[in-house]
Amino acid sequence: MSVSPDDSRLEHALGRVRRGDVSAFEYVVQRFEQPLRAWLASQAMPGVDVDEVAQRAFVAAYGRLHEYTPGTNFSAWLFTIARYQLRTETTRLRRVADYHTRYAPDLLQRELERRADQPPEVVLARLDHLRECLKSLGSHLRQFITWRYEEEISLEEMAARSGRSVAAVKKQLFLVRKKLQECICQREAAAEGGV
Amino acid sequence: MTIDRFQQLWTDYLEGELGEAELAELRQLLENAPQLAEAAADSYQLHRLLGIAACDDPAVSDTFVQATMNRLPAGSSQFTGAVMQRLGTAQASRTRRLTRWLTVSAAALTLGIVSLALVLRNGGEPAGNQPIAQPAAPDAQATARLVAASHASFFGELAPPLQSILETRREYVLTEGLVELEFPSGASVIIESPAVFRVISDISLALDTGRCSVHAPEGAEGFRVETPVTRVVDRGTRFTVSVAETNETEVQVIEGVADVYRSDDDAPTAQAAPANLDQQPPDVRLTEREAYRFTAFEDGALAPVQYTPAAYRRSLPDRIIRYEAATAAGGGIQKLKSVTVQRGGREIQYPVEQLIPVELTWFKSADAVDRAGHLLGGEKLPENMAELLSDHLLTTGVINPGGSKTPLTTDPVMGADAGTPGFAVRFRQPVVNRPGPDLILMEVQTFSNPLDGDAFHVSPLKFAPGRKSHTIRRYDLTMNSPEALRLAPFSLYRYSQPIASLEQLHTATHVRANAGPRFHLLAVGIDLSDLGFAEGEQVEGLFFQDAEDDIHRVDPVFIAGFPEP
Repeated sequence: MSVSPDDSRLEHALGRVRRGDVSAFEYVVQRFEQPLRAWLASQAMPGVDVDEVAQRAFVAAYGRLHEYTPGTNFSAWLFTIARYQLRTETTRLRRVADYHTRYAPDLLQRELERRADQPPEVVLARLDHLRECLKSLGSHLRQFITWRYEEEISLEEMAARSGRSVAAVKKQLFLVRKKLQECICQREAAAEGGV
Repeated sequence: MTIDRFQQLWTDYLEGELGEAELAELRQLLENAPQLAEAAADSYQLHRLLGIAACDDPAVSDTFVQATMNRLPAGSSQFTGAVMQRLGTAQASRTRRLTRWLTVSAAALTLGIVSLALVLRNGGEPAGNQPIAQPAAPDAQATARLVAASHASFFGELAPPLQSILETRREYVLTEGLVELEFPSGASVIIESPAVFRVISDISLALDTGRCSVHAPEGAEGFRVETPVTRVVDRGTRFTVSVAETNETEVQVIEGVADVYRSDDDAPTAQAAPANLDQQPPDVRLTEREAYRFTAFEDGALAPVQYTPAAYRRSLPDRIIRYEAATAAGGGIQKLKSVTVQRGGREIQYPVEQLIPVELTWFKSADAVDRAGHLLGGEKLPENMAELLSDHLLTTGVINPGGSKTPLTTDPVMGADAGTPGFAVRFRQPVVNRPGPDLILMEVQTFSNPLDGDAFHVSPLKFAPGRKSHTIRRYDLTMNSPEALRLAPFSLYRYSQPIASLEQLHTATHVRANAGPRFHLLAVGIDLSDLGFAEGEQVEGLFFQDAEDDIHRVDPVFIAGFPEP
């Protein structure tokens, strides 16, 4: 087994945290925040505040660091904690009386739960594929993604900016997402085939 | 047909525009065609990942990291203690296993345990590698707390949360504002920026540069402030210590007695206080109203200086200290519960029901359409928008008013055609001017806006001799304050025209958009004395204008007066 410089730095930071240097934990959060948030985002049911769960996972990991065996797989250990945090939040949400009517169709929930054990690596690879697929989108299609996910503007405003109807904007969003989904699938298939 | 309908419903679902009937229809569709559930889950996961990919912004990551760090348990010593306890258990267990196959004498075993204990006391490292020698308690973690902060900024990090335990022997660089530390003995220290300091133990603070005011009440005698050239030991007193960049140290005793010991070697004084300091005669004993300067130069100059009692700070400035609010189901705060303010040096917590609400009586925007809109609210707006600043919901407000670079010097005009840009509020009952803040203004802010809050002018509704406008450029709770809490999601309402009156705010066409989840709630207290009102004078209303110092405008969501203390 080889140890990468990143792994050494991580273990060094964890060692400092164990000796009481709280500030060293900042490196740990920086290193894992995006993978953890991405993985949680793909696993969480509608209504779950992903950043909140991610923060709770980090805080729990910090509080239980004495249970982690130095030199083993910290990433796997952290994601296991996050999985439990997500389950707790999901259970809490389910107990909200009108959750089903407000948020999620039951079958979507079940399908997401079926995928709950997707390894983080799969989700992170998908995120990388998505970034590449976004680059390959034409500028006018990319524009809708920017409006929707970066600027977070309303459908009405997208319609006004693009000179289309709201219904046309909705259809466009659906098609762009479908195109991205197909692109990701192609890239995943290519990666599996070793191309 | 089913697929087309699924596309429509699913897109509406992701956009949050699905009504109850349509949600039931979507549920039915998914039950009838289970393969659609898989497509829905694929699409949903992609939708969430797009949200992550769209936020590939280092600022977003930094915010997340800092927010997480702020949530770590304040008492790192407790954490270290738990680790050490576990290490101890593990080591003991290992020792027990060893005894099964090693024949050793009881004395040797005892020696081993003592050695192990020594190693553990030193954090598992050989004692010779310990960076700091502390004669009294080598690894003791101090429990000094940060109990108050005013406009405090630390170099390269957010201010620690109030009531958090500061890390022992860690260097804190206070670049702006003031902080107050409280030590377990009861000693309290107010540190003024710029300053570099470290908590050394439960009875000592190292001040490498800057100024601090110390109060050691009865029972806290012996508290020390260590500087690069002196140790100032309290003998029951109030005193100030100022350390210049040249290490020159000035000590002023306001009350009681303080002993000053000069450092006699090159070692940093803060790290090597002799255990028998109390038995040694001081180099100088200072009593009330005495002040001395100690220099680091080889001539060893020690000289009396002018006594300046004004340098001693008994408390932090009056300000909004914190607020409490109920959290929404999806996370983020939503409804105000109480406000804690320091007025006239006294900390007071007001439940929101005791605050004096306001009514919006005038609103005029700038001449151009504001793309961020003028109203904050939920999915529906109330009929009377004049209440948006007084309801207890922090996700409702009247934002982006007009303004002026120059503050008002005459009465604002509130007529339909030639009104003054800005907004006016009337208190439900007059607010009486008392020492310290008399009202609170809270605004929503995100990290792409000014971190200190959006500057604004506040003016009397009626000018009179002595009355004036006052400009707020820095809030008491800023984006750098751990007490500025994250807000629940809300909606923005944008108009297609500039707003020239309160009536237009109600009647003009507007469209709704969801705001992002990264807004925080800042707060500032306003002292009516700053507007020229006399102590005890009653104020019925005020006029607010954006200061137009940048492209960002003030975004108030709550304004209220404080009742008489």
